[in-house]
Amino acid sequence: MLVILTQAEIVEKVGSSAAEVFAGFYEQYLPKVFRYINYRVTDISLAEDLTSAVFEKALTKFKTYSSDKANFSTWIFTIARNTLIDHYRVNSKTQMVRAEDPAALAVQSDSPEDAGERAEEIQLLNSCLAELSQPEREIISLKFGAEMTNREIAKMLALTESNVGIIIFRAVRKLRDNFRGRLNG
Amino acid sequence: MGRGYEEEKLFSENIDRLLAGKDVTGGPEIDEDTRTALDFARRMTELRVSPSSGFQAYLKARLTEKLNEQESAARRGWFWKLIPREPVWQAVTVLAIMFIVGGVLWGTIFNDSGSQLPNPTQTTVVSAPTSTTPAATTAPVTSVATTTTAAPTASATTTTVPASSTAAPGYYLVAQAGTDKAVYLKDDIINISLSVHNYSSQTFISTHQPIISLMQKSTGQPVYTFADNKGDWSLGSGETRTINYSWTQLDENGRTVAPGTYFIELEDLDYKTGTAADSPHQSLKLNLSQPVYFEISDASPAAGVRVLTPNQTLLFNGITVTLQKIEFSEHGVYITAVVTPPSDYVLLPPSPELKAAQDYRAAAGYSVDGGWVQDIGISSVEYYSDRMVHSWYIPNPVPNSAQKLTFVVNEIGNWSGPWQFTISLAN
Repeated sequence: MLVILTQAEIVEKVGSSAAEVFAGFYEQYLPKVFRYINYRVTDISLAEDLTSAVFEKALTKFKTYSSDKANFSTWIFTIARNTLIDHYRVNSKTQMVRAEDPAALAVQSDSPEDAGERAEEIQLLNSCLAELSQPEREIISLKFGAEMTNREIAKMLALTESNVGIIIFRAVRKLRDNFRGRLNG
Repeated sequence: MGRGYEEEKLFSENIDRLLAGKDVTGGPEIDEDTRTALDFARRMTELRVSPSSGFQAYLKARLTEKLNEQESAARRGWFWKLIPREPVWQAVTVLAIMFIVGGVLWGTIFNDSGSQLPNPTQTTVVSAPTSTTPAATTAPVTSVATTTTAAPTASATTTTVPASSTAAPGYYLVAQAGTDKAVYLKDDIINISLSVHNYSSQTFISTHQPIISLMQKSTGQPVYTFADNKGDWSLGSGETRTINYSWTQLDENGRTVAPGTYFIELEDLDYKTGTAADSPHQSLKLNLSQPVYFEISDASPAAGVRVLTPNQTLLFNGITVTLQKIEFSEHGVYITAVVTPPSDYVLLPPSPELKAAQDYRAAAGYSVDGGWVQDIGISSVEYYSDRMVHSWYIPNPVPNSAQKLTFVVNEIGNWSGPWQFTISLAN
């Protein structure tokens, strides 16, 4: 069973072993980092590659991490953002929405019909995400993928908290309208 | 500000509730536009894709391996840190040091005593650094274990060091696991081999032999765990022990498991730090750096099986790929190919120390009668000293009426292809 530790509980363990602390962070943040990246690249295998790269970098730099300077969430998502920026710098011409294998998008409880429908909806959502502006997509990814609070997003992107809230509100409505339009069109 | 700001604030609060897995109950103060936006946000959270269990296991193992490398590097002294870990460079470094030391001695002797030849007793002996090749193995102790010094055909390796070993020499176990085949039919016996080598200078004593669990990839849940009730299990310094397991495809309740992909996971080992009965117990986590996958096909063993042996060979970028065998059944196709790297390429057998278990798995695709090319995925690999045997399983049958199968290996590890084969299926 996955045990979610609070930041304080994890940091408390630093005295025992850095490896254990990192393992705790890994268990807690892997799904969030993966989802954040997947919101940005919408290609599962690429998201897996980039997530691996993020955690490998984090592991290498972990000895330099100080909880006094930033909490782990800010630290790991800064690495994730930089990894994505590097990726886009190298592959600036190849950003695209890829058709995913429906099986990879299904969840365990899905029947084949539900799995197909879910995969279709995910593809549709990915297409709508691709139409958002870069800042909107970034903020939606940090919100729904990384599950960061508006305050954390604001701090990371040097925006005000209310500005972040407004952008999320508008972006979700934009996604909703595009999604409906495509679904009915 | 005013109403718009309040709406946005309420919306943000509700999004946070959604993400925390709580229910969102829109009150009367929420207008239709905001309510539908919240409904859509709820759907967005439901549509989020989670990392697959296979990926999680793979990344965890990879990070563990990296962590072990870091800890291993930290344990090495400053002198050996200056020397690369690759055996070739280590040998070159040692030769260079011997040459320099020899030169210094020679110069010193000639400077001090003219043309006097060096006294053999003055020769400086420089020891080679510890070889990264696994040490010779000794005989097994238990009847279930057999030792081997040959390179295993296992497709995964793992290196595990207990956390305490950063401070003390500790135990340094390297395990390799594998199955005898990549794809099994219903009722086939699945033979699994696990080798564990103790690289440390201490004897490792566990309260049980290593326990493996067989995990279903689609659920990430164990279907069968090999129980051990044989008591203490020990592994001396430099010793390798191999444990063979046979599985009849039955789960813990004696029911036949579903066809699909399965992988091997190692359970934690309880170990003692001394031989005394009251020695404290500790737990040692074992992880595979690359999960060992195998497939249980739902193809019937006898029905409609047809085997072709094309033995077609293609050479591209110095890499030779020989399409050896294609087995068609009414449920799928099993393809085997031999990959031979250039003659000057040293294909190291899987070993975590030599980094030989690098990802040589090959991505491939296929098409029938010139139709769409479909991904098969990556291969399972058996490593030999000069070649690799790759196998792929296509979980779809090829119609009997098909005339042509095109099979293309797109890349093998970092080697780019393609190697494309066309096989006539007529007759």
